[in-house]
Amino acid sequence: MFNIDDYKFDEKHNYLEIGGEAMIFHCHHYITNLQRTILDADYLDSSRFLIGSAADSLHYQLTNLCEGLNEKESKIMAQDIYKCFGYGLIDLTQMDQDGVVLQTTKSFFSKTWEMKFGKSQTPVDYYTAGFLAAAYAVIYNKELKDIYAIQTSCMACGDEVNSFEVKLGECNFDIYPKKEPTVFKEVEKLPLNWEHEQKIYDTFLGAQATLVGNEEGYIPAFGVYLVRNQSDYVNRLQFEFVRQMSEVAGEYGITLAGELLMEAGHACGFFTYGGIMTSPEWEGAVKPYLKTKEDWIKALAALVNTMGWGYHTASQLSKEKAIFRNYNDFEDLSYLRMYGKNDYPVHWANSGGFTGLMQLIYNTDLVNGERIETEEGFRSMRRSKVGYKTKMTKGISCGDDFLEVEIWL
Amino acid sequence: MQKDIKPLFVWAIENGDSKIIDRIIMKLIPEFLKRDIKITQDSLSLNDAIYVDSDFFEVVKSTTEKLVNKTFDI
Repeated sequence: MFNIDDYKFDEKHNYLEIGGEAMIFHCHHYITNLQRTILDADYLDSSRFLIGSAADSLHYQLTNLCEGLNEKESKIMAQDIYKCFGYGLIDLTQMDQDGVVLQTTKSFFSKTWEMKFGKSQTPVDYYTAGFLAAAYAVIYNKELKDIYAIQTSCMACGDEVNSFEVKLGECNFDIYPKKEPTVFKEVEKLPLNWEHEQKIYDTFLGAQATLVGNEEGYIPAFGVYLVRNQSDYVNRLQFEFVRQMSEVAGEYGITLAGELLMEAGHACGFFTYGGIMTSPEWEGAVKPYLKTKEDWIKALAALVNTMGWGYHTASQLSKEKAIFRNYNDFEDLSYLRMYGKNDYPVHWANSGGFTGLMQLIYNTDLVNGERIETEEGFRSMRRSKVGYKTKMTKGISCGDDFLEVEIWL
Repeated sequence: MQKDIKPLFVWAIENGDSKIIDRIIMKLIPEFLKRDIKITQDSLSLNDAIYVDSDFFEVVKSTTEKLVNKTFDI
């Protein structure tokens, strides 16, 4: 039913859209770190936006993807994208007009939470609760605001299966206003200014389409588990978290939340980029072109520009200081679409990712093949080295032409 | 009685996640705000000491030990 090859990569904007939703890869280090940060603030009623963000994005996407499909076909479509995007496996056969009680043993969220943090005290797969709410609403023509969706058991808590219940009832998640279409910032891009950029870009263009869920519905790649996130889903988690923290603690709440959101991006950049730069694909197709550490960073930028996160480049690059840009970055596009303009930059994941990349290249021996793969290794390295400082200086949602971040020692 | 939480935070940095102080504060931010304390991990070095009431010290210590997954016995 669903075929990722039907969706063409937008080379002009370094962007991929499926069913009206921008799609971006994230790794399990980022997603679990982000969710833990949100759940740490246990004085917030965060389950409402953890479920609601997923429900909103999936409702929009499935409405588009299921247009013209009957009930059975729509269920297959929903199951297919869940698997293809790397979230695990779900069987919607039993879903009917009254909802569904569903069990699964394949869940990206539960599996990777336990891998990274050990057992959880409470269920962690809010995404799937939101996904099922959206699928129920779309397939049976219900309003999201009339749906109750909850996870009742979780493998991350030690249960044998993940269980969910979705039914008509008092809505237990947030409902959001209709969002605007994605609007790109059409400006001339500062080129990466690296002679091999096009070669690397051409080599990896299309590779993203091969990163789809396996028979278990997972995307293991580069030593991490990837998921194809609806960009608006994962970014709304950040935006709602920061908004609520600003209500709790004003500007201080925004600063503190931002530091932790950047840390999630840092872990993502460190582990995922590290995995990419030690992969056989990198060894064969990229490494022959690399002479300096700056080449490593520019090659990585050329490669990730094929993945749908916008156009990454740098106006300044050295061990001591770098200024990175991203044209049409996924966080700003999402923010503009869902919230409009803002008076401070909101690209914490991008900025943390760039910082993780600097750490990886200049503060480890990765270029000589030594990779830090463990959590403890990551912590030890961060403690023993002088860390990079990060300042988000420009953002499209602030009215600028591009995202810009300064990173220095 | 007032107690200094800075040694606890220094120990947490040596033993915990890379942004452990920000995590501890995120967990307890309403309590920190009641005491008019607004710090982040990056600003910690600007303070020689951070004194809090002993009851709150115990709360911070307990939260810190839980997040670091070790016992603070210095």
